Amino acid sequence: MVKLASLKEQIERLLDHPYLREHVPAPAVDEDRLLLSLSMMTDAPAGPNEPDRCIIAMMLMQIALDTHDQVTDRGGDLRTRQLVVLAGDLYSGLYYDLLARSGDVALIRLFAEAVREINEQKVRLYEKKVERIETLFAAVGMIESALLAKLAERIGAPQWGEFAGHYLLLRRLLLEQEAFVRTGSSMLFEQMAHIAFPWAKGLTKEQKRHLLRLCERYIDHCKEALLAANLPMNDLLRFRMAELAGGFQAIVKKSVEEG
Amino acid sequence: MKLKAMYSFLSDDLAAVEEELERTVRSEYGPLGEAALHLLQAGGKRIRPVFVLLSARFGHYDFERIKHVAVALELIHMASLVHDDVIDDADVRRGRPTIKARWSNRFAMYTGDYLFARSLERMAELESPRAHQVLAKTIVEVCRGEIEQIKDKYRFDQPLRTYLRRIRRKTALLIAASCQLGAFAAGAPEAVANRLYWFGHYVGMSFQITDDILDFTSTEEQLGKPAGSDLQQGNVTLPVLYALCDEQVRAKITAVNADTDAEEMAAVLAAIKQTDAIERSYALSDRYLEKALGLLNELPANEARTLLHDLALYIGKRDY
Repeated sequence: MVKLASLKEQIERLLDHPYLREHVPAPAVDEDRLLLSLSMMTDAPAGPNEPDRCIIAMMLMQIALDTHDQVTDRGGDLRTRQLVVLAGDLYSGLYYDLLARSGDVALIRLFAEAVREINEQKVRLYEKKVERIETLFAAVGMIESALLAKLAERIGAPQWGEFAGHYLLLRRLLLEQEAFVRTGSSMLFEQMAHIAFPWAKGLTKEQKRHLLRLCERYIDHCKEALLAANLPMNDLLRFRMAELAGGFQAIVKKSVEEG
Repeated sequence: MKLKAMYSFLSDDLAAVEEELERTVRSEYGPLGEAALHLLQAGGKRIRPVFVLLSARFGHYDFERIKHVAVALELIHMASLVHDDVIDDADVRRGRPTIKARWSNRFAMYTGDYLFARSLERMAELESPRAHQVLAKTIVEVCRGEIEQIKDKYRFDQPLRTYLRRIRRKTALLIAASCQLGAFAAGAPEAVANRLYWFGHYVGMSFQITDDILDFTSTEEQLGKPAGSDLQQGNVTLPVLYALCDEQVRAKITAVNADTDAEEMAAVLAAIKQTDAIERSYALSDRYLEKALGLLNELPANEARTLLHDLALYIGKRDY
């Protein structure tokens, strides 16, 4: 898809910084988010004047937030840590610069709200202050999709905000589930265990199965919501959605059954 | 004279800005607001809001409009401080534990990003794409300056212009933007806003050079960190560049690294102070200050102009 490739190239060009690249790996550009944005814009009743610029700005901010997630609490090379912090700051500066140049002050406000909410939720998770499983999944969904939801709000297509929320939560749940099954370690499952079995020192097989079943239930819920949305989308996104709905699921189901 | 006593005629508006800052950083989720308040309540000179408010006096001064810019600029500055402490691995700021020390690096990253978002939310109250463009460009340049600072660490062969470009990005641009945005928000004439921008730029250059000098001339108690810390961390500042002209001192300076012990550092500092580096650095700081003050003469005479004059002298010549 020409448009997707062109946007990706523009983002990569903006992210290019020779000195940063010597010390910090180039951030990946998330194609799913690009596909969601493009479908959303095509379907929008009130698209912004410069849709590409808005999409690129949103992607830069997401990359900035993801970059800051890599900052470690201890250990590691000091210069790398310093440059990871500054890379994230630079990307968020570039995001604001693009939006400011588009003159869309309403979108500046909406994205700023999203960044505030995302960081509030991240701190809540980081401090393990979530008391209910539903709240945990809602927080993860919000962290994944708040920027896209605000873009959808700006262009008068809130249904796309919900769709993106389910899509990105599904993708995240599948990744966490895979990590948990394969390695026994997953941030999400750690949080779920903390909520469901607060006093447990280690998880029994039955407790693990319980957590996997809980995760499965949310995965199914996301899939149902995606299918029910019935939104006009480009072929690539449709293909990606089909991929997400299948894939790793079979392996997990087998693992759950076999315990 | 104390800085706050100097701008007493702004005291009501500054108190209101302080309240707005407190209200803005409070988060729906407690710990984040607590961390932001922790930094806010540690104090600070609030130089950027002061420049915004004073510059706005050259146009139609509507505090309800201007306060958003004043709050936004201080929040941007605060966000950068929180991240800077992670970069510098600093445990103390303004006599208090830093956010990264009291909570953690990761928590500090979230707090900085949160403050950045709150800043843009406040700034978005101003429906002026041009104002956003100025601030955004400034933020990008500040980040580039910080990256350069890391790149140039222990690079003792760097030319003077590299240092000047770095401090321009690191400090002068945000002060310049504070002045320009204050004028914009008040609808001051373009020529006035431009002069204020350059005034802020020159004051900012003088301010940073003075800051760099103080790293050598102040005590550990005044600095809150050992004297010469900048040099030990590899930051090649103006006094260092001038001292490098002396061949004997040069050998001592270029031997400095992160593992240099306190006794060796004391000897290096003493050697630098014996050269004319501090004097020459003050002379350059004064030249920037003179340029700034010269620009003020081209602005309409009013109380704000007098105060900008006093403020420039204060921050350019402060002994701490």
